Amino acid sequence: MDYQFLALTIATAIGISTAILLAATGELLVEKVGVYNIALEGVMLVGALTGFITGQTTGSWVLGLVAGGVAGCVFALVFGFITVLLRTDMIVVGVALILVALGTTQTIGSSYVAVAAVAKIPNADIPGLSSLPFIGTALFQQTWVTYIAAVLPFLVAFLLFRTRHGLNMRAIGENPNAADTAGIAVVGWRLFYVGVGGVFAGVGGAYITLGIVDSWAGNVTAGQGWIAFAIVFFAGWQPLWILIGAYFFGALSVLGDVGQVMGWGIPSEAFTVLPYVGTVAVMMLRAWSQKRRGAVSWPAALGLPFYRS
Amino acid sequence: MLRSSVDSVVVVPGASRRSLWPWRIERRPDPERIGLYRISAVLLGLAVSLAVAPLFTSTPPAEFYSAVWLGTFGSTLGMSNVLTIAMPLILAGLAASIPYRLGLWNVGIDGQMLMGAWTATAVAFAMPQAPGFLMIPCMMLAGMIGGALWIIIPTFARIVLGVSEVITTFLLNFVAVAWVAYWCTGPWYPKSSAGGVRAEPLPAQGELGKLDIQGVVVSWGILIAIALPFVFWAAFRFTRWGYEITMIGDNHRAGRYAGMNVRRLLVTSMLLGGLLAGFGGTIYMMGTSGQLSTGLTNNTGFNGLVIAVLAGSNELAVLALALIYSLLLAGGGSLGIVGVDSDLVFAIIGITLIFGSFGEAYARLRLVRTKSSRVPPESTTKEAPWTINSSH
Repeated sequence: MDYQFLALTIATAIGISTAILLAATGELLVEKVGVYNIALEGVMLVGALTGFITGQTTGSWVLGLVAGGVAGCVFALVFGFITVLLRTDMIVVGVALILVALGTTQTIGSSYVAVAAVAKIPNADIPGLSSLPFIGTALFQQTWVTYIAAVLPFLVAFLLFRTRHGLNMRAIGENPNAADTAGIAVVGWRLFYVGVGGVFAGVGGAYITLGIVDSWAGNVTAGQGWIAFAIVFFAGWQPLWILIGAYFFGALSVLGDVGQVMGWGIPSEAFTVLPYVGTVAVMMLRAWSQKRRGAVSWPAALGLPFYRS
Repeated sequence: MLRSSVDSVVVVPGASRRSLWPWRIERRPDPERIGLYRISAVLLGLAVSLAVAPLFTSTPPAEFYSAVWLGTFGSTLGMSNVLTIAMPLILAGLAASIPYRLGLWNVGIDGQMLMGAWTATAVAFAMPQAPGFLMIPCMMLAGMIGGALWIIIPTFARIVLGVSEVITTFLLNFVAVAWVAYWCTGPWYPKSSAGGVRAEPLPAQGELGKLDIQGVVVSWGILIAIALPFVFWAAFRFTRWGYEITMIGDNHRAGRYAGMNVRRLLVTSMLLGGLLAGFGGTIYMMGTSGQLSTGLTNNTGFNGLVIAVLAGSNELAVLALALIYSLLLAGGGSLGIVGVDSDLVFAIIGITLIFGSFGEAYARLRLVRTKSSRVPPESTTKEAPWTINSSH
């Protein structure tokens, strides 16, 4: 494999990880305040279709991404309203909303199937850096969205671990009753971050239709929302591990195709499977080591409804 | 006691709470008739979403509903379809319902169905000359074992290590799809390919025979599928195992105090879930296409989960809901004739389920007006900071 090919492979892996990375970063914020939005796949689908339709009608990919984010936010807030405010089961509502998203986007989007995107997100070469040998091609000839997505986990890490508000967020996720007693609006912030997570996932979905596959098809996300959901577990709720996890997943899915081209003789399914098996294995290993140390890495109130007591 | 990653957080008490909204949601002290509220809300949701559904399409409502009618009660073909769809759905509903009684989520039913069907196919290909009366029981047994094996790792992870079974069972679905895709495109690549990722068809004697009830044609697997909910309904009432599971529910600690082997019950209920799913995938394959394919389950597992939650620990309700659900799916499938995407039915089901959640929330919660804003600040002490101990 020559260097140019390797550089392009890395560039592709980073590019296609963008949507997953965005959604996973948003989901981390949601889970840190104690909610898991299991409907992530549905949120991404809604964002993908809204972004695509907006892009087709306005011709602007920026508006497409914005519309995807807004739609994702609204859809996620439906989830937030039912689970956080009405305290119903997150799994049931999540599954229901995925079904709703699947059905409505297929029906509404049927006239957009197999149409090429008008407003394709262009690559933005970073001056200077992009002309470096190898690294330039591999890292610095991406879209703006990809650059921003790569920086976001660092910002989220700063927010969570270096600010007073981040401390409050973690308190909400660890012990909502104590946070409530301290005057933190538990339900309000939970709803807020479910909405923020929806923006991230919606933009991620719009990036799939406007930046990766450049078209709409039914169920275009094809499980990427679930992968993003899994990455948060894989990363052990650590923002920087989310970055690593997302690129790892991207690299594996590219390796499957590369292996076919290069004739490695490894079935591409082996690469498809690795991220899932890897996540299960990492979760079990982590649980095993934490069991011995007596600590857990997930927010202690994750998935529990909050009642003032 | 588990220690959280935030060991101690110093919190400065905030100022007195400003209320943006003079209402508060709180639990009803004595929630009653939750099931009734839920089912009423589900029926209401079904009616509303069915009434609204044609508006999302360009098809006139009359054509829309006549297509749904013809796809279900309106024709023998429609009824055959309904029963065929019901066959794996009932089993998927049971596969989710039995672990759900103990508060466990089996989100990996699709994977377990595929792995059951794969194991059964492997057995059939290993004995291609065997007569049907030998091959069919062997395949069914293999399907059960394959499905149960596929849930062993999540069960172990949950019960020994405490890893949430929601994510592990779900992720293994993708692994099962890839595994089946590999066998369908590799070792079992069909001699005459007809689109989709499908394996070589099963030997003819390995397929289930068809019943013909006045034109309604369905494989006899449906008889097993309809009988099983009654079997489990009886098992939960008349066996010790069923009694213990019913008593414990999701309060595992109570069971432990009562001297029950909770761990054993958790393991058996999870394995039984996998076993039933594997069996469902197997008889569906043997009774319909007669060949393994990645599209075999088509979200049956998710639908089974929905059914189990709505049925609320009642196997006969699983049966009834699975039949209603099959009517919806068959009716939705027939919408393709009038140019509507059949996935619209997923939206109908999803909205119905959300209505059910509203009904349950209404039964459990109430809206209370908070007292006037003259409430004194909750804490005037200044000696805090105090510590958050997340050992609840």
